This record gives sequence, structure tokens and C-alpha cells, in this order.
Amino acid sequence: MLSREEVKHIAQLARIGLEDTEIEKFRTDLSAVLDSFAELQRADVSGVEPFELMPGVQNALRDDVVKLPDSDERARIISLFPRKEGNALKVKAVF
Amino acid sequence: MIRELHKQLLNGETTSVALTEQCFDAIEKRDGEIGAYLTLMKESALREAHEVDERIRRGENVDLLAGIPCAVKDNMCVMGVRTTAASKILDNYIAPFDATVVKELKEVGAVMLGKTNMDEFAMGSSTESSAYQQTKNPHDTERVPGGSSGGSAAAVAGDLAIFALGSDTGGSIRQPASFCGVVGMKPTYGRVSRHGLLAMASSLDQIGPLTRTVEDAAIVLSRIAGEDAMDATSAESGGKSYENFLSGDITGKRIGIPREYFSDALDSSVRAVAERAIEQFRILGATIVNISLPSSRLALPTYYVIMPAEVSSNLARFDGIRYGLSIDDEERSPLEKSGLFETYLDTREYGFGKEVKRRIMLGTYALSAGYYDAYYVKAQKVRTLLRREFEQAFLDVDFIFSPTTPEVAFRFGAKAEDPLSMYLSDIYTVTANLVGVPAISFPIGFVEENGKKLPLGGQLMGKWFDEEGILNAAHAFERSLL
Repeated sequence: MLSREEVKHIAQLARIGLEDTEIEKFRTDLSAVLDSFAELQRADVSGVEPFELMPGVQNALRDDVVKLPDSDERARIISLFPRKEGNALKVKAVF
Repeated sequence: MIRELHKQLLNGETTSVALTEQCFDAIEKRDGEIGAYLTLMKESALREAHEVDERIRRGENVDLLAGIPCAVKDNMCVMGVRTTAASKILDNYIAPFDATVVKELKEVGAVMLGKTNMDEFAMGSSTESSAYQQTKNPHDTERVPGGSSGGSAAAVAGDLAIFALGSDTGGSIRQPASFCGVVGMKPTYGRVSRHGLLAMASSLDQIGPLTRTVEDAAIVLSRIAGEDAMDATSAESGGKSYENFLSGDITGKRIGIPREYFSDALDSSVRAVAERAIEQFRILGATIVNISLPSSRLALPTYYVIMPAEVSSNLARFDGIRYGLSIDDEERSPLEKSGLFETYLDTREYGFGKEVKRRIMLGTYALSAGYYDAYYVKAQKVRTLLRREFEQAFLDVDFIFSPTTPEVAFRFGAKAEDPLSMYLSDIYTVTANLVGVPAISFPIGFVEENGKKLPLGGQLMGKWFDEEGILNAAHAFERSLL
């Protein structure tokens, strides 16, 4: 069973604020799911490589060239900014 | 159905405007109860329909899908239209571009009626985790439509659209198709572009059609399939016109029945319907072969490690900075300063629902230092095992058949508080996503519960990129019931 501290730590890593009352609920739920993975832990996978890409699919690479959106698209993206100054996205100080 | 409507459009028996108005009339009458749609696009739909009618009047050649009204799951971007993925965190999000599939539908002249309800960010099997509304199963409104593409399935089953698009990460097209008595298809991974689909788990997600008939699924798939430079894992295979390859002849085809999918635990009425379907395939000339996929029991736990891991990383983008909900709580207690970090915490706390938080946290845990090898790497190794077993099985058989779901549609609330029992709903569907093969769910019969006949789907999985094969086999089955 995960401890309250572990749940709080995971929530911090995931950048999710949690009310105190929610911690207990997540503790039970997450532990139940993690317990259900026990069968996975017992599986014999010696000598098996981790799965990487699907058959028939290759990572598509392209040249690292900046492609600017047209002015309409740019305006649509900027209109979604929660906070802005002119056309610049406004962000809080990191520290 | 689409072919017939196309004929009627061409010979003047109906118009696209008339078909579109019929759908909106039906929506007005019944969607208050069913709740399939989150956003309606009546004005643009009627305009698009009118344009198609004009083109037909001028004698232009139009595509099979031209003028056909459809619905799009709310996790696909339609430019200028609210796109929420049924989450409060995207409540005010107006998509700035079209998803590739949407662009393709627009290009052939399909008419978009609106955006359909879903489980929040496609996480769920009942559409109950939508932050906005419940969607009811048109066959019994006390029951869920399945999920996560529950709105799309209910729209098609309830005659509120001719066809719909859904997305399938672990069964999210096929399971609601089974529950609502319609056809639903998850193409091979890489077959259909994911560009403009709000990502859930990028190595598993595929977009596909929900339709009334197998031929309709083939028609829609033909139009959305194909390589796309905007999708980093798009397959190098030109799509084809699948609807032209439905011979209905499956003589000599070998259909594998995995014994692990028909264990003693399988509900007896579901088993009976599935066994009748197997018998029907035999009558149609297929050879039924008993096979074994020994690692099947590991598929669900493997899925529930890999999917949340990808979820936790994909949903990190919803941080309240560039778009969507952004909580800047100046009122936080004076002891806590409200900086960037607090904006992340608060935005995600209020913006995400319970199931989304649960999966992000599970994934974060599985990827965190000390657990990465035990969970994530282990799961990816088992995924390789599963793939090998499928490769082996497909040396011997053409298709693998099972029920799509271990049960018929359940009642609201039956599993909402128990994540594990909800996850079991995906037991037959997750493996196709993990290994990447195409799979189709199509109606195979009904199970009677409390005097109501509830539909059940059968699932055919095929070889990688053999959409043609499973469509033809499902078509043969469907036709034999007429």
C-alpha cells in the first residue's frame, strides 16, 4: 500500500494539487491498480527486448527548419493565450 | 447505407441539405435525452450541405462521402470550433487548425454536424468521466453507451448522424460500438494520421470510423487513411478504396479462436452469442482453428502501465500557460507565494477530473526513479512477447475472433467507483493496440437482460495492414444475417 507521503510526492511530480481529503482516496485506488500488476512482475521476460516501434512504422525525420504559421493561424494561436502583452505570451517568474 | 444515400443524392431523390436537416431534427427531438453531442455546428453544416447540393446540381463528380452528415469525437481539432476532449481544462479552447482526418473529410465534402461527448481525454469505458454530461445508450437509456467514444457510438446508433469518427487507445471505438450495436474499427497503428488528435497514449492511439454497416466503415476508412508528414509515426502505405474489395467471399479463410479469450469465467450468454457467430463463419466457408495466445492474461496489466506512462507525459502540456484553463490564484494563503509552480498545481487540480488525475499519477509513478525498470521496461518487454505471439498466430490463421466485450452495456454507476472493474471492460480490445494490428467490432447478436435486448459485438483482429481482410470477413458475416 502506498503511503500518504508517497501519494503526495507523486502528485508533486505530476504537478497536480491535491486536497488532503483526496489523498486517502488516491492511496486506495492507486494501490489497488499497482497490486493488479503483480502478475506482470512474475512474467518471464528473460532475453526479451523492450518493444520499440510498430511494424511498418518508422520515425519520420525532417530538417530542423523553422516554419512560421500564416498570419491568420498565428492570430488564432495568440488568441488562446491566457495572459499576454501585445502579441507576447505573459508568464510568471519561475522563482 | 452511405452508397444508397449517395445514389439518392445523385438522382435527386434527396439533397444534402435535407439529410442534414433530418439529422438536426432528430438531434433536437432526442439528443436532450441521449446526450451524444457536446457542440453542434448547424450553421456551417447547412452551408457545407448546400455547397455539395450545388456541385451535384452543376453535374460535378462528387465523392461517396460528399454531402453525408457525420459527427466527430471532441478530441479531434476542427478549426474555429470548441474542442474540449470533454475536459474542463479545455473548456474555452477553440482549435486553431484542422486535424488531418477532419481536413480529409472536409476535402471530400462530408458535412460535419458537431462534436461528440466522450470520457475525459478518452480515459474511460462508459463516457461517465466526461466533465460535461452523461451519454445514454440508445438501446436502453438506463445504460452507458460504452467509451470512450460513447457520444460517437450513440450518435450513430440513435440516428443522430450517418457516421462518426472515434479514437481507440485500448478499445475506445470497438467497445462502444459493441454496446451500441454499430460497427467500429481501429485501423493498424500508423494507418490513419494522429495529427490534430488530442494525444492520450501516442504509441496506442488510432482514429477510426463508427458506422451502421461494414461497407460504410470501409468507405470512411478509405478517405481518412494514408501517410501524413505531420504524424511522426505515420505508416508508409498508401490507403486504398477498401469498399471495392468487399467480395463477401471468405471460403478457406482461417479464423483463430484463442482459448484464453473463452475461459470458464466468460459470461454464458455472451459465450452463446459468440459461439453462434463462430458457427456462422463456418457456414460461410471459413475454417475455424483453435489457437493459444498464452500471454493474454498479461495484456491488461501491460496496457495499464504503458498507457498511463504515455498519458502522464502527453498531458504535461496542459499547464495553464499557453492555452486552456489557467488559474492564477492571487488569493492563496499569504504564507504561500503564488508563482509559476502554483499555477501548474492549481490549474491541473481544478482542470482535470478524477480518472485523468488517477492515470497521470499512475504513469508518473511507473516512470519515476526506482520504478521505471520494474514497471515500464517490464511492460514493454511483455509487449514484445505479445507481439511475437500474434506474429506466430498469424502464420497459421488469417483472423482472430472473439467477443468485443466480456459483457453487454452496463448500468450507470455500476463501475464508476471501481477503476479496476471498469478497466476489465477492455480485456479483449487492448491487445490490438499494444501490438498494433487492425481490429473491427461488428454486431453479432443480442443478450436479453430484464426484458431488453442489448447488442453485442464480435471482434476480428487481422494481420498488420490487412484492413481489407477483416472488413471483408465482417462484411460477409453481416450480409449473411440479412
